[in-house]
Amino acid sequence: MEKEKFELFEEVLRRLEGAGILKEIMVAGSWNVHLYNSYFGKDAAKIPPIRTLDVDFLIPHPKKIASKQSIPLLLKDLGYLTDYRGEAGFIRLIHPDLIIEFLVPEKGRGTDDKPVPLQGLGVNASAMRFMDVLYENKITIRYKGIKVSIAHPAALAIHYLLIYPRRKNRKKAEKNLMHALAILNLLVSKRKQDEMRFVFLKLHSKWKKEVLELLDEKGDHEIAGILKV
Amino acid sequence: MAAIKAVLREELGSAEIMKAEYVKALKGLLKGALVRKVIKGRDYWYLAYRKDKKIIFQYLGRLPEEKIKEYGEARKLRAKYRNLLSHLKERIKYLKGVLRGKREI
Repeated sequence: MEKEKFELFEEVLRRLEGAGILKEIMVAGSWNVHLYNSYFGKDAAKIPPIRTLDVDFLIPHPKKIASKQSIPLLLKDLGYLTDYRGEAGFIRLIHPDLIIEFLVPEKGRGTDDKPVPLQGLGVNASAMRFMDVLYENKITIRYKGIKVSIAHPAALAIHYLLIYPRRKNRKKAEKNLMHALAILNLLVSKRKQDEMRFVFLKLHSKWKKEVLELLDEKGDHEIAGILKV
Repeated sequence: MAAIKAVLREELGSAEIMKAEYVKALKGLLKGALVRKVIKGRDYWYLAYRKDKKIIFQYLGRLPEEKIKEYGEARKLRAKYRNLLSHLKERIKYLKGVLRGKREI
């Protein structure tokens, strides 16, 4: 199942790249951790592996998407089905090996829990807070020859720290926290403190305070100290 | 152990929902397979499908290219969905076994 999951993920990326969609979106969430193999090399093994069937794609600028190709049709012959969840009809593409969901940054006062349509792509997206931390700090890597935009590791870690107290699913929140601390400690060991600070300093002051308080609460004073400077 | 079981229960729930979706998707596909007969150089089509234990050949006549393609795609999707459904059933069986304590994780 693991092997099929990764092979399917690669094929999904290839098809999105071929359709010109991949350059307008980025991988969000824990699948970034899998892609950090390309960033950290063999040191990536120090980050706990992902065990999720869900991959989230973030569309930073949904109104500016140039592509007009239906993603459900693009992936149909791989066995993907379109699933409508909840009363509001949030779309996700389901497959026994890998589920795909779409996210957009939450703007203003939010969307009242309604999906944001992405008509050109034939899907809709959930609007989430703190997504700007990810797309304002994106990097591009090559994964099996495919150019993919992902969040800088420091950005993903800080994003996880910000959502930690807000996640309803506490088990997922704890997993995210574990990844966040592992990533930040790996960045320190690779002497990338400046990159961590660069991401942190761009945050709203209220968010900075939240991140530092959480790090202190979890006993990671070293990381908190590095970010404070 | 309780935490692991909770995760597995969630995965089982998810797999069962997905299984239902694939069963529904299979029912929604065009049934049968096209069989071509050439008479005096022209293609005539029959739809072959199962009804109970019999195989029925339903005469469709001459078909436009798009319809032929549609049946071809439905046939490929049917094979794909059946394969994935089979994997899902195995996974459900495994998860149920683990949750009952009859299998090791």
